[in-house]
Amino acid sequence: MRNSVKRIACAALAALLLACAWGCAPKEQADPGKDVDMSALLDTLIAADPTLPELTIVTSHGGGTLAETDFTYLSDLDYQLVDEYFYACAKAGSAEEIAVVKLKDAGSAAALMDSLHKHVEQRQGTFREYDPSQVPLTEQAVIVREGRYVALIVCQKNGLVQNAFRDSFQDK
Amino acid sequence: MSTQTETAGGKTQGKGLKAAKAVGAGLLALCLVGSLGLNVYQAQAQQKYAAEMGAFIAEQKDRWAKEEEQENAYQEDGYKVAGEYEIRSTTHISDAYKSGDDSQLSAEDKDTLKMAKDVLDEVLSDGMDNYEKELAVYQWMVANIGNNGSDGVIVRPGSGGSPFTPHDVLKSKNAVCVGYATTFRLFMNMLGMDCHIVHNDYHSWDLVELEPDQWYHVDVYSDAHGAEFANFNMTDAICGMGHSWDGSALPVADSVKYSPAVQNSVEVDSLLDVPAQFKKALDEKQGAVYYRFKTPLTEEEQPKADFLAALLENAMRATIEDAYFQAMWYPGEDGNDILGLLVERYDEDEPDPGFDSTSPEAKAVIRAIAEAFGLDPAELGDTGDDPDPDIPVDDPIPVPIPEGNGGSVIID
Repeated sequence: MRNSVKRIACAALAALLLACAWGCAPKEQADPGKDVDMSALLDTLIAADPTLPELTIVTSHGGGTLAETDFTYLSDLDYQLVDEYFYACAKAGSAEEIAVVKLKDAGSAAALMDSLHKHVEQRQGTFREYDPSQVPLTEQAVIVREGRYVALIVCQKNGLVQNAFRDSFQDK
Repeated sequence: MSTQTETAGGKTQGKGLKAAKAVGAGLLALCLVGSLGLNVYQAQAQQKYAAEMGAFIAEQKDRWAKEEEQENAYQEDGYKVAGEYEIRSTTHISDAYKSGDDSQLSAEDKDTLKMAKDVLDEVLSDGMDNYEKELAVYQWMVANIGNNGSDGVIVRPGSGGSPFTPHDVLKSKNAVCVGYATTFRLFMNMLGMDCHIVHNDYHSWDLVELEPDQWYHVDVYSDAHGAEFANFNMTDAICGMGHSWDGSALPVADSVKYSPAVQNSVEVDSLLDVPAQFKKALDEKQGAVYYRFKTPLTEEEQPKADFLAALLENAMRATIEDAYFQAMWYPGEDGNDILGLLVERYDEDEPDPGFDSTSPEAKAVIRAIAEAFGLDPAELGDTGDDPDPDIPVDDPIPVPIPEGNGGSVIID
């Protein structure tokens, strides 16, 4: 009898512990949105504007300090917030550039986009000084996001590239 | 005897103790359960609150990110050219044509569809490719859609409505530029061709895809009021000579296969064969002629070609009154340039467009400017009163010299 009571008591305690565990279950994660392959996205965006000049492309694939250093040319956002990125800019020094940053958390998007605005303004200032003919292109810069992905687009056909970026996240 | 009594009392005491223990244990268990239950409830309430806060913060971050967005702002449907003439979608009408089901269309859209279908039935024939269909529609519109007396995009009061939709255009056979552009787009969409409307603040025209990734600018409005084919199937570069627009969201138009120059050019052996050919074309009242050279012109020969074009213009003006002439170089498919000579004859029955600089009104304008700026009206083109046709202009009109004042002349 005593053993039965002990067993019952233990079972009841275990059930209560489980109930507590259920009550402390982790909260639901926010939907991070669709994931796309960054290499494919890079090819898609560059192909969308046939007027792009020859580009220099840097990505985060190499990893390490070099990727982090290269990122600073684009944004002053804490690199720890970045999951992946690519950054393509005109080799000859004109204003064209296309960059996509995949963040670890969509909540960092506003901060990243603000830093990209600053980046564009800095480039504008430089071009005003050394090559004013490039300034109109920078004035039409596009900065858009899809979930964790933020794109900076500065090129002749920025509308087409923007459409290609958005289309990449649509279900086909 | 006492042992049994002791034993009975001991048993009673033992049972009581057990009962007390049982009650105590039960109460303790109840307290434990209650405490744990409370903890569970509090944990859940905390979790719910955290979720709500998280959702609020995420929403705020989302809103900030949205405010940071800077998108390409080019707009087609919904844009109002000149702040007044809205470019309206006609996709539902062209879709109804292609599907054969117009049940979802309004009465006006059904009317539009019928009128547009009648035009296509009239101008198209079996076996036409996209270019031939486009050309047929373009020529019909140039020949049949007039203007409402407006020289630009603005419709003046009393001019008979605001023909900026395909319905009003096809009904009234009048159009402003938006009317031409949206009607042409409707026709192209009905024929299965993608077509954008290109616009700036005050003008609009079309960008049509004749083959995959081969786009061409077509400004039907300008050609209906000017030289035919002057603004037909243009590349971005050619169109940019007479138009300005934001092409950042529009496809590149750099194909020349279906340009009028490539489609209609005549081969000549050399530059010196052009004058005779052009004179023949003028006699036949052709509006646009294009010449490609058997031996492509070199860079050194280019100034000679430009000189020839300028002299042709002088010769043309000596031959035809009231006409506009334009010489332009067009890119050929093989990379060699084609010389295009466009002639727009002004209709003798129509008033000469533009302002008559010899009219009394023009003279009044010239004199007002001359007076304000202290200039001689003759410097601005005013030759004074209409001269006597019997007196050559170069001969000075004699001024009477008053007697006795030593030869000085007072001119009022």
